[in-house]
Amino acid sequence: MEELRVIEIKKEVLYRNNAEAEALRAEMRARHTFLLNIMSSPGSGKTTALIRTIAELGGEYRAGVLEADIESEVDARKIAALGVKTVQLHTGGMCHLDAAMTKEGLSGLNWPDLDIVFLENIGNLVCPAEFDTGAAKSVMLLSVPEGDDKPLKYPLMFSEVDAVLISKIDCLSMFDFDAGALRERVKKLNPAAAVFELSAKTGEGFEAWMRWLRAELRRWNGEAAR
Amino acid sequence: MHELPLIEEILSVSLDCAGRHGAREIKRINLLAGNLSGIIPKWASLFFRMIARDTIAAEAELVFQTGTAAVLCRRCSQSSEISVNPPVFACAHCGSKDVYLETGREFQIQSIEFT
Repeated sequence: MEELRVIEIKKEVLYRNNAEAEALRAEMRARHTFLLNIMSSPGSGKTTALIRTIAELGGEYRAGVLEADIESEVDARKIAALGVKTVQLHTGGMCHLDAAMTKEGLSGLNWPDLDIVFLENIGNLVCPAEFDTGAAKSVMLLSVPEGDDKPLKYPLMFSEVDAVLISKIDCLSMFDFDAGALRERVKKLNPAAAVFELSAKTGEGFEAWMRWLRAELRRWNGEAAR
Repeated sequence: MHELPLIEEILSVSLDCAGRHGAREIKRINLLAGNLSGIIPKWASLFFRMIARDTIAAEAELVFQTGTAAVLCRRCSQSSEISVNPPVFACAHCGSKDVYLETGREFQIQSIEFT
């Protein structure tokens, strides 16, 4: 009878991606480039919020954008029209981005010359949360029309992010959305997450979000300077 | 929970490891899935069977050990197990909500058995 051999591994299934993500994060920290991973369902307003965020940053920081979609250049064109360096990643049917794909996209941006890179992840509330892209911070959007029960249905996404942006608050009067209930549900899963209520259309609530983002950017560069 | 990329990674890691050790056939892959990992063994095994076809892992059995979910309390510095349906992030000793998850979300390859 053939001898059975046992090899111990004792590592996370995604340890190869995690190692790659950590290496990328360390490299970006050393070069003072802040990668922000932005996730949400399709149609929550990521691109619109991103356009306003870039506009509000003004000339203060050199920004670049990585657009990830399964197909089309729709989003990349909107951003490029602002004169911002943009790379469109087509994921070939994959429902999420991993560190390797993020690194490949970044190389198209010449990222060491940039202060901040926005990674607009694929519209999907499930898979992207599982894969570390090497980002400095990650945020998610939840739009008013989607409803305030999403933290109950998609706990991992809400648990993993550094901030939740409640978007499309200009539509609050048209939907039964309880922002207080949403905040409570997020707090139960992720007490450390910042929660913002904003409208990319009207600009309402953007000041607090921009304050948070600038503080994170300063902190990122401060850590690297040590 | 979307298992397929994770299952593909299990197959890839297993085949790499088996290749380095000159394995003929992978018999068993021992996994640890935390209570909050969202992994459903039945589906994970089914996907694995599909993608492992025509490899030396084609007949491999996936064996799942369940890991408990536990939090470490920042207030009293003690660990406590928490319930997961639904998850309640609070210390069982002092009731504080200032806790962080120590275990529960892991999904690990523990070992590979082969001939």
